[in-house]
Amino acid sequence: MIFLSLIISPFSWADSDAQTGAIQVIINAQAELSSLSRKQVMSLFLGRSRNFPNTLMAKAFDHKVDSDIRKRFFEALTGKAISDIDAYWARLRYSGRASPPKELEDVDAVLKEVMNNKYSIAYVSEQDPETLAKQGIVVVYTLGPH
Amino acid sequence: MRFRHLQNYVAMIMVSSALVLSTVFSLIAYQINQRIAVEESERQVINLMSAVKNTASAALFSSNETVGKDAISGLLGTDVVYSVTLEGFADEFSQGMKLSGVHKEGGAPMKTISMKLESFFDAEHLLGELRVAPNQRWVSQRTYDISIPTIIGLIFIIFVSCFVSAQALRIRLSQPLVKLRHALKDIHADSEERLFLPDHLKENEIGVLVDGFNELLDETNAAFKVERKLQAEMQQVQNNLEVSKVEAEKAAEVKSNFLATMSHEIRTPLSGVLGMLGFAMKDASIQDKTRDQLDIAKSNATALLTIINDILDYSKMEAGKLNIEMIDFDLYKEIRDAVVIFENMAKAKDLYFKVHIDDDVPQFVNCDPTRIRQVLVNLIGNAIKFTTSGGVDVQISMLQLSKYRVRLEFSVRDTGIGIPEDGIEKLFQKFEQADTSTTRQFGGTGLGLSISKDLVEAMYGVIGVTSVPGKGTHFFFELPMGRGSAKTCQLEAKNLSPHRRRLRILCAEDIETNQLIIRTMLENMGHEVIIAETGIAALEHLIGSSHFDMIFMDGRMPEMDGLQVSRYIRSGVWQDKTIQQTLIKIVGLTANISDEDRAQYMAAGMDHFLSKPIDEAELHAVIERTISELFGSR
Repeated sequence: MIFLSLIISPFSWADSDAQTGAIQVIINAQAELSSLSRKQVMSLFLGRSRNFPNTLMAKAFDHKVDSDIRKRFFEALTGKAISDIDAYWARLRYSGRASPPKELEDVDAVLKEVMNNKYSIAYVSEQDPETLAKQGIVVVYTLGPH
Repeated sequence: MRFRHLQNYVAMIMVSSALVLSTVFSLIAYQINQRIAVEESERQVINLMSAVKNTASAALFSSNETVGKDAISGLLGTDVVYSVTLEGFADEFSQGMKLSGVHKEGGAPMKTISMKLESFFDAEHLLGELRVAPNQRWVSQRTYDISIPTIIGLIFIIFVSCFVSAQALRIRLSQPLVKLRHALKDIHADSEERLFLPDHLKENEIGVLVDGFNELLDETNAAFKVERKLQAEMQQVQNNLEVSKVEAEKAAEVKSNFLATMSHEIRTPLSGVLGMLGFAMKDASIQDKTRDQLDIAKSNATALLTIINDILDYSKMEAGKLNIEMIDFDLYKEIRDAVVIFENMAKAKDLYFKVHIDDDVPQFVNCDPTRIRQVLVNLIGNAIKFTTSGGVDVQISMLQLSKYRVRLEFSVRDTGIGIPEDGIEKLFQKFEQADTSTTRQFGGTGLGLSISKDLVEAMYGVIGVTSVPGKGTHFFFELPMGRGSAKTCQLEAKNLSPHRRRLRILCAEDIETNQLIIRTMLENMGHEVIIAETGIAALEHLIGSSHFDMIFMDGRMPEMDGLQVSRYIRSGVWQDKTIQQTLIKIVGLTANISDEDRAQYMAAGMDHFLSKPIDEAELHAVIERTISELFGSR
């Protein structure tokens, strides 16, 4: 429990200034990638690509549909409004075969998923890379504050 | 094509133009509409492509074939699209893909429209391409759909315009022309009327034509006036000529009548002389010297009769009353009879006279024996008259022969004085002899050859002459004639056998000589003769109880002529008295027998007539026929 609260507390703090802070794209350290390009990030989160550049299979995870961080992330990443992103997915989903990133409950669930699976990729509001590194998480791309 | 009416022609041109215009404009309209349809198809395709662009782009972005196929089938769901190709380019994130489809009902592709598909999230990032070919079938259908109303409208407008134009032309141009045409019917070269045109046509070619026509009419009018004047003058001249002609004819008729009357008047006493001479010579008790004198008297009288007959023939010919009869007769006998009188004449002048009929000349022919004899006698008479030494050869030869027809040549050759060349031309003219000295030396009327020529020509023959002055003359004539049969000839050539009945005959005759002649002839035949001096006397005889078997009736009698008497007899009543024998046989006696006379005599009720001087054989035949009629044939 201590371990959990330890992890969560900075997240809670981070949540307070989430409106303006940078967003980090994170993966499992075992994926053996130090950084990704913006295009690569977009490909992975918008269903274009299902593999990391080093051919390792990749699986993107998302935040809740109505969460503020999701809105900020996609708008900052694509330059499009979140509604356009939703429309994009809606078009693909219409065929019944679309596979948008799976939504997770909160930041902890996101971190836990990345920590546990080497093919996971997700994004979180800015954290201390050292702390993340200790958890086996690598920041591969950072969307800076506006 | 030819039209009776100009407006039909105009209508034809208008209809043709309308058809051509309709065709041309329809084709143009179709072309334009086709282009419109092509543009429309492209526009629609571009719209459709724009509509599916995001989906297609999403499909490519996410390499989602299902979505791509959905997008393609969405496009193919419209008829305007023939084929769709969705191609995604390979790159670091995707190995690319290529999807395509064709409209399920087929058709044909048109120019492909391409659309670049960029990434939805990065306009710089080219993902692939969407290529769509519009459907040719849709374009055709669309062209057709929009062309139908366009073309119908066009055709309607063209036809209405042409109809309006035709109407305008009809009213402005062809109706005035039709009026002209009707007006033309009433205008002839002589009429004062003129053609009239409405004002709007006066200045153009039609106006010029009409003006020209009217001017022409003016000229013809003038010409007609002159013509009418000339005609009137001509008519006047013609009338004058007509009057002159009638007068001339009248004069000629008077002359002919005078000649006929004169010859008749001369012939009647001459008949008496001849008849009396004949009876006198039958008297056995007269002395030989007296008989010779009588003989000479008779031949002189006969010669005189010939001259008189010539004059009579001439006047008949002048009057066109000469008749040619066609009967079967014995040519050999006729020639023998004709020439026999010349034998003595030749002998008296110490000339030889030879008559030869070629063996191939048929004996029986059909022609006019009297006329042939007349011509022959004339020619032989001349030959003997103008010959002093040598003699005369008569020859009849055959020129052509067929089953029914024969052409004979009669030739009379003498060794006489001949005729000078310039005389030959005048030879056949009337009252002309070779020269006037001839008349003094040899006598004659100069009518004989002229009559002979007329007679030969009336029988469709030709007559000719060759002569060497001092050596002799050769007259010849050719005659076509029918071939006769011996049977009919023999019937006519019957002898004067005694009649089997004695008849009681009434003779109406005013001239004593004639009374004597006919009485003698009839009594010699064994009949009882009652003479009536006048026509009235004859009627009185008939009113009485006495019975007669037949009547001989002179044509010309004082007080009442034979025609009138005959009419009374046939009517059965004269001066309130009844004539019993209305059907009695009446035979007219007359000197002139023309067709007119014949008709007159028959109309008056006569049955037959005999010409004077009376031929004994004819008289015999008439009585024989009457006996047969009264008492039945033998």
